[in-house]
Amino acid sequence: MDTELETVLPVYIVGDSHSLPYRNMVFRERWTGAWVMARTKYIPGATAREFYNPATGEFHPDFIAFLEYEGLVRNGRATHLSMDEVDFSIAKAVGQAVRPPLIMITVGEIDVRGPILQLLKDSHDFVPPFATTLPLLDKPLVPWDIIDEAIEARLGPFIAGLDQLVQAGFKRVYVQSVVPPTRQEARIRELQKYDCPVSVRTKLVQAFNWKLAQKVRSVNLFMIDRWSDLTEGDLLRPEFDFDGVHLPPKGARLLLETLIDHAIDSRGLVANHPRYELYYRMACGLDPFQPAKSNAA
Amino acid sequence: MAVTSMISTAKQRLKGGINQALSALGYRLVRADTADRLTGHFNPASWSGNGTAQPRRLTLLPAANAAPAMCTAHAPKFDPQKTPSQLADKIVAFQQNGVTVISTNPEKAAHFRETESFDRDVSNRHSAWDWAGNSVAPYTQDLQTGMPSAALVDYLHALFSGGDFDSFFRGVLGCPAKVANVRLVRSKPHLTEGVGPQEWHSDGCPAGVIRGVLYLCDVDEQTGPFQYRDANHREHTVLGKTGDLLVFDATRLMHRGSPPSHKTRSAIDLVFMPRMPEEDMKIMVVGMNHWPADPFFVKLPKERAADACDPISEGRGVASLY
Repeated sequence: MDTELETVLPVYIVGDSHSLPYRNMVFRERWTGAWVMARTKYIPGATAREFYNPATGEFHPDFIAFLEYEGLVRNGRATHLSMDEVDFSIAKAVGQAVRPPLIMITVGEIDVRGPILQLLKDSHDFVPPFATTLPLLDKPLVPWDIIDEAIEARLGPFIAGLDQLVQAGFKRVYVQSVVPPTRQEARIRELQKYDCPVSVRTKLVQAFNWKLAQKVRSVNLFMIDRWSDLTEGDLLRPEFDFDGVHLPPKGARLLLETLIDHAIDSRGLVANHPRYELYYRMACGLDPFQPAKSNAA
Repeated sequence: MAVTSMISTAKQRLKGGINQALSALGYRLVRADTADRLTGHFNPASWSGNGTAQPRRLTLLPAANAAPAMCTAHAPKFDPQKTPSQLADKIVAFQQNGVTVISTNPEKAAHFRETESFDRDVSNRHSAWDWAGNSVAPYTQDLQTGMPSAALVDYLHALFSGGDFDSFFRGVLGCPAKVANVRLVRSKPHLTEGVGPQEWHSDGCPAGVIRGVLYLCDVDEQTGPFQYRDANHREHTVLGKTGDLLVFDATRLMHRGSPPSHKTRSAIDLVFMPRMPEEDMKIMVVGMNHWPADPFFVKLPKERAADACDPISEGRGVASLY
């Protein structure tokens, strides 16, 4: 019996606990009917600040461990771009097209809730440099420059890490926007040990995402955002207020569908040029694995 | 030597003493990596098997995934004296200029112009994760496309399997070729700026991939002729007769199908890619896709119904998800 084999389209989702709602998620996407499967890695306490160390060029060990475990990295190299005979043999044994993987990183929420929110607490508000429907409270204002600097300090290393990922050949990396915070004041008090009005903490997440989107774009990547679907009047819709921190799986799926929608129209990036080079050499009767030749940029 | 030996003996005695004391309490002193292995917690990345620990590499090395500057780099310089061919002058022209024009049967081309259906827009109904290709939604109304009939595919198969074209592809590529895609394209006259393939662009084709355009009508200045810029940035316009086949390196040359000002241009768009010597000629038909992501594992994408690709008709309602 000749049965056509069907495989899934894996999307690798790695980061803080916001990667958890994607765990074991499987669905058929609307464009080709392919099964999408989320392969997740929860890195406890993962932050944007500690994702990458620009001074040493090192990524968070658990991030690299995840990429290695999934077969996306070997010996510090992206396996999908490898011209090593070993990786060629591995790909042959797997028997599937080798293409740049779809990866989504979830970090930022701890950065916001940690050092940045402390600038505001229940005592201050701020005016962001973009339009928002959230009110300005009758509280002393923290200048935007201070907020901006605090966000910058958290995002700087992360963006440097994203750039490094792109240089390593991972050009289909997405970043999940920080999800709108809960409306439950008691939950915030429980988490933060202090109060902070919902309009202020939501505005801060908006500001973080505003900067995150720009910075992610600056390294030719894309931030996944469904703010308008997840909120009502810029505040989290009750149906997406799951446990006071995370989106429910149905909210996570919205974000994953956005990634798929973007990726299906960005397939200029799927061509595997090193493997075309190998193929072309073989077709021409040349030795495809020339030791001196490297695909390093 | 004596001091070293004394220290070693002292360490052994100390270990022995500690082990005895721990043993009396029901414990045992074991090296950390041994304990990890015994309890199944050992980290394979930090254990090379010969007892030396290897720290995990946390940096990533740069790697390029870019189109080559020219797509026919492995073709040896063609010498028409050594390798006689009916299309020798075309091979030489291609190697020199990155483009050449080959005449094919004009009656056949005119016949297909009348019989083929240009009944589609440029939406991509064959979207597939393993193929590079156009966006799902159409990006212009100035172009009509169509799927080739079985008769046209048979004709092209016979044409490109012939000895002349076999030697031509071996000359320009250095290896035999197969067809990665055939699609019909009709450019309607318009006076607005061209978009998509009517804008100046380079295709970014992978190594060994070259393009072809088979004119199904005479193409003059008003019919939107093919244009390219040479290495000195000089602009060239390629007029043609029905049945003319342009073959070009779409990455080496900036090019465009110029917007037709007054007459409709009908043509067949072709993508050629390398073929292994033992492989038979193959013609793939994949709509608005360009080339497979990975040439070693090629699976033809299936077509979806036109309305299945319309996100608006399907809706994006949250309520329907769970």
